[in-house]
Amino acid sequence: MIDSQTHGAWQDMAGVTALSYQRMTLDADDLARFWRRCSLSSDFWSRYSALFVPATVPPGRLNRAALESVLAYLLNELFENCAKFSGGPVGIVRYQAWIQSDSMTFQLTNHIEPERQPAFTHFIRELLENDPDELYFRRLEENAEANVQGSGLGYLTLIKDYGIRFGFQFSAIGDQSVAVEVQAHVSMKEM
Amino acid sequence: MLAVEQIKGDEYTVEHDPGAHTVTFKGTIRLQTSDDYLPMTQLLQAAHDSAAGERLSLDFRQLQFLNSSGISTISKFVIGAASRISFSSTWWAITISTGSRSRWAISRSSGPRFR
Repeated sequence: MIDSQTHGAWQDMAGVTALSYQRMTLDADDLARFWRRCSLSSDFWSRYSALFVPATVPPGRLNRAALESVLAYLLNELFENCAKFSGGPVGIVRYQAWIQSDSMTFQLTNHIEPERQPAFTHFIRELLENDPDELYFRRLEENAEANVQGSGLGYLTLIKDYGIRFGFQFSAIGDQSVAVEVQAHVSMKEM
Repeated sequence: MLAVEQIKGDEYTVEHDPGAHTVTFKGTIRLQTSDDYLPMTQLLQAAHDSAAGERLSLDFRQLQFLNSSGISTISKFVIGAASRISFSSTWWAITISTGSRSRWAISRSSGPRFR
């Protein structure tokens, strides 16, 4: 039995029927060592995923170029977070994506030291329980006064400008490591 | 004639034209840390100083991509600049919209967002 906690729009994807499923495993140190690997990975998967959108779409649905632009920003933020915030004995970063007809779900998994979980949980709860516009401006102001690492501006932009819904799961792996899974649900409908 | 200052990376350039009081951002900017963004912060501060009370324009029309660290860097500069300028009736608000690649704006608004 794995001890796990979930927050926000977390969905158990085990039983989900997808049109297509992709996965890739990387090493967090490799991403941090050459930062360009984050954008390389996000550019690759954003293009790959956007090709599931037909060349022409009915009104009200995201076209291929618009979706690719959304995904490039989303995935770059998620890969950068894995590179920035991984720690402890497990260095694996896992990318997974489920393509469905009306939505796409992306899941990035990285690992942190157990002592960092409470602060991250607090960060997530603030993100999920506040008005995103208000929190965005509050974070901009705080950020202007001090150099805050992990201000949440990336997540907030994605929530308020792109309508992306996030879910989070923490799972203890032994007593040295916690797997952090971040799920992003992207609707294929225009906002 | 004042010289144009430029920061050039693999995928981007940031240019300050002191004659036109404009800083132009082009390409894709996805740097790692605030230290990596320091040259851009310094260029923006120098541009602000050299504008000496004139309007300074930040031109994002050719910017294709900016990561959240970049949004943070630029908004930090704008908030800092706004705090050094006094406005009689309006307040500064910042909207850096990343909804599509061409939609960027840092604008003045009537909402009391910043002091």
